[in-house]
Amino acid sequence: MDELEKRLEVLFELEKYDELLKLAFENLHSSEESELLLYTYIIIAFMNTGEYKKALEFCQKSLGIYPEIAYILSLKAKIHMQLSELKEAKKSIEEALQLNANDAEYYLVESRIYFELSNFVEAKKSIDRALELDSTNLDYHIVNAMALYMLDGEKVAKEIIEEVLAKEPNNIKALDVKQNFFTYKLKEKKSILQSMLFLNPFDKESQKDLKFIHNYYRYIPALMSFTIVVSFIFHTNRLEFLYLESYLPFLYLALMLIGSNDWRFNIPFVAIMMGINTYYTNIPDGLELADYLAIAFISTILNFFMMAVFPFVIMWKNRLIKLIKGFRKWQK
Amino acid sequence: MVDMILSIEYKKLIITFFAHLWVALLYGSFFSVMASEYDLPFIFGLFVQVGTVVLVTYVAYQEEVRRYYPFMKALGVNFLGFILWLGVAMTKIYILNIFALVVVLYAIRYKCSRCIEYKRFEIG
Repeated sequence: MDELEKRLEVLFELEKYDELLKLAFENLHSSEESELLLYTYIIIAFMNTGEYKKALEFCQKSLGIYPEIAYILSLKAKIHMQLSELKEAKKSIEEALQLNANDAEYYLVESRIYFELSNFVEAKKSIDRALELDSTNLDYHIVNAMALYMLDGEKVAKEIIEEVLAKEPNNIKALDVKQNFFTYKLKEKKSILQSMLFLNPFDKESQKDLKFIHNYYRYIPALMSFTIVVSFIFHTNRLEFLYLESYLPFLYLALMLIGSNDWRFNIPFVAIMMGINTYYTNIPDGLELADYLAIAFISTILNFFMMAVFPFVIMWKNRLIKLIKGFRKWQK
Repeated sequence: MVDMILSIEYKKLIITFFAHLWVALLYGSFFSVMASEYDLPFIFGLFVQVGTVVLVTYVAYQEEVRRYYPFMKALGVNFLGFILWLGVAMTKIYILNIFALVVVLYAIRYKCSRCIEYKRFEIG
């Protein structure tokens, strides 16, 4: 028994799941003592290889034999979460918590389920309970920071992340959260992403973000110039495009909404468009080099102004979406 | 003093200001009208109006930095303020508006089921 346990542990540590599964299946019905342990290893191995349906199948089997094992129920909840079956996940973790209410890990799973359900108040309540039981785990603090951030407690959330990073400067999750939510300067973002890639060079998300920042600095001046030229042509021939003028506010709005996916990208364009329009309402006759420079100046000022204002626009947009979602839920 | 100014969350302050501006202006303008009824100078009425807005914003900001302030609560507070204001208008005992404002301020400070505290834990 001990030898089997050790072998399974070694295979698990080495991430040799095929061999682990083979060994576990061979010994599954050999003794009742080790059956639960073997089931657990099988479920986790299937989870780690991404075969969630099979993992769920073995969860059901093991729960048929051992219905009151909270750990298996928590694994079941995790599998349901991966399969986007959130109601079932919630039900499983509630059952696990009924059996054992003193395990912080279960509250963490519950909190994550609530996160997926966009119920951040309940997510915060769950993670609070987890932290009351165990405040040494940094993961719990990071989830707490995320819950606080979603509930508009940005300042406290940022302080928590800073504390976590002071304690463990190479915590990749904390670095990820910091660069995603608490860093507004692209250069700072870039340095965090670089250190993240140093820790995990194959992280595709970080690579993508870093590439975006790199491209932003590389192409934005050219794109801005292009927009100015297009706007210049548009406005010098504005009598031909006069019918489009009344649609301009909608264009700004559309640009803002598109920009909210990555708001940095569209700000210069919106600024230029608004700059030209503001200028033209004041001086409608002709356009010379000096006017052209004035437009560039106004656009730059507007750019900085909108950089400051745009996060509010996004925040109110998110609030509106949240409200609409809530309304739909209430309708159902 | 400097620490206090530096610790202000301006984003929240602006949001709070606009979220409660309507109800604050409703009561503020009423108080300033009352002041002019008593033949007090115009500037006094103005101060009363600004003071009401500042008071409401201050109370709401204190609440916002302590706990989560749901959007529906802000709507509720504004609606409650309006209903109370209408009620007082119907009784025609206009001084009751002071009590109505106190009720509104208590409503802002009311801890609803979703108003979860911004609780943090020491890293053990």
